[in-house]
Amino acid sequence: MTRDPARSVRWRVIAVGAILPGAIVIVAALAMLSWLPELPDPVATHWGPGGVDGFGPAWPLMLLPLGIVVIVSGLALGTAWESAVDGAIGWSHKFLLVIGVWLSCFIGVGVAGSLVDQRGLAEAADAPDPGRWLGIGGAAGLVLAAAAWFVLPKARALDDEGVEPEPLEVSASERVFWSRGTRFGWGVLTLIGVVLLVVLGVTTVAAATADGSARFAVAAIAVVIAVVIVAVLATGWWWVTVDWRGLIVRSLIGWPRISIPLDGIRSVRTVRVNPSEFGGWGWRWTPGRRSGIIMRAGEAIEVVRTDGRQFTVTVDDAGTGSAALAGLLARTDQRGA
Amino acid sequence: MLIRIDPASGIPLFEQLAGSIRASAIAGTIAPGERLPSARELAVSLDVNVHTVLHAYRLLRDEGLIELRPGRGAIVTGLPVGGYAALNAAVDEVIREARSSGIPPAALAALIREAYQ
Repeated sequence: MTRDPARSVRWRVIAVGAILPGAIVIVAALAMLSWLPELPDPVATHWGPGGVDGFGPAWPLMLLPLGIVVIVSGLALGTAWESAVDGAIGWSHKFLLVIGVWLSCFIGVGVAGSLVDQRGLAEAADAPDPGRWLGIGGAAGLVLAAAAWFVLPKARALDDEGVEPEPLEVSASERVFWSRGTRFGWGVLTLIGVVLLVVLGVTTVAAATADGSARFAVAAIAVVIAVVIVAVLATGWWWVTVDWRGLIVRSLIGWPRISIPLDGIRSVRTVRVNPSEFGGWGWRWTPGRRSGIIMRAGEAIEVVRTDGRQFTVTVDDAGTGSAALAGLLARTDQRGA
Repeated sequence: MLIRIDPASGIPLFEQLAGSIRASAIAGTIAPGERLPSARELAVSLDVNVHTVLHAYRLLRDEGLIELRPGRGAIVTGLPVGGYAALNAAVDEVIREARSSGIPPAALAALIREAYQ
């Protein structure tokens, strides 16, 4: 039998990202469904310092773990998938995936536990506090998440040597300009959009039913969503420019703006990057003094600054951009010599 | 999109700039619908007067290659269906021939300009 390492990575990511958390919450939902005839109606849904202070129907509790885990594990799976197909995932992918496992156990056991103690009760007000179930779920989740961490492949940074560009021949009086846009792929944008829509939908429903202090929480969530939208707009679409000033990477809305002057650049290469090297998409920093604007997998311009820090930006036609930058650098060096 | 202009070449800067953008459009490195940098940005990048860039943009607009929209900048428009594949192939051929004969870029450009006029 031939072993395909990328295929094994894919299967392990699916097992940890979908099968395990999915199985836990489905079992929890089925268990709760089987207890339905024995449960009081309504059931206790919230506990305060003085005992039960919230009541409601049982069915939303059965769907709650499913909904939360679909969102969290879906997000983890979505971000890790492109890298998993390439056969290597980064540490942040692993972290998100095992968070999904932990959460499924914590919420599945916690919510199901709050109901298991209510079987046979005539009055939901007598329901015991489910704190211990949350504790059991959280602890079991930690064990499962730790096991899942080792089931996943080792986090790997794909090291790519890259190619030195053939510098553009630039005469002493010549002016050179290269520019190109770079943005998130439609897949990533769709994923972000879907997650935002789901959160927005939940918030709207919550706002319609909330009162008092709950309204404040809903408003806080709405603010978070607005911040996320602005952050995506500001860091999801960039213009990359090479000219006499050096390398300039500017967000579509003008800010943030990363500017690396020619005399601050030691070398430039064209590389192929995988987002997992940077722990995902967006404006990323990694240990080892590397940072980058990572919009997708594939070709990128990478510069090493005079202080040793590296900066990488994924952009189409990176070869031409690197060649232009290398040409300008070579001319600066000649003038300095 | 790569733009190269040289104030020492003797050809007016706006013409060089228009020529460089035209070449990018014909070679297919800028596509219809793509937005060109704003005149102000490009003027800073190329260290030329903003009127030089606007002059070049108006020239390209009059040729039907770009559209100038107030507030939205310059947008690449008029490329024929299928682009200029035959022309690009012919240009590659000419460059190959010039290389093998040791003719420098400036001399080849001058040859073409004279023959075309």
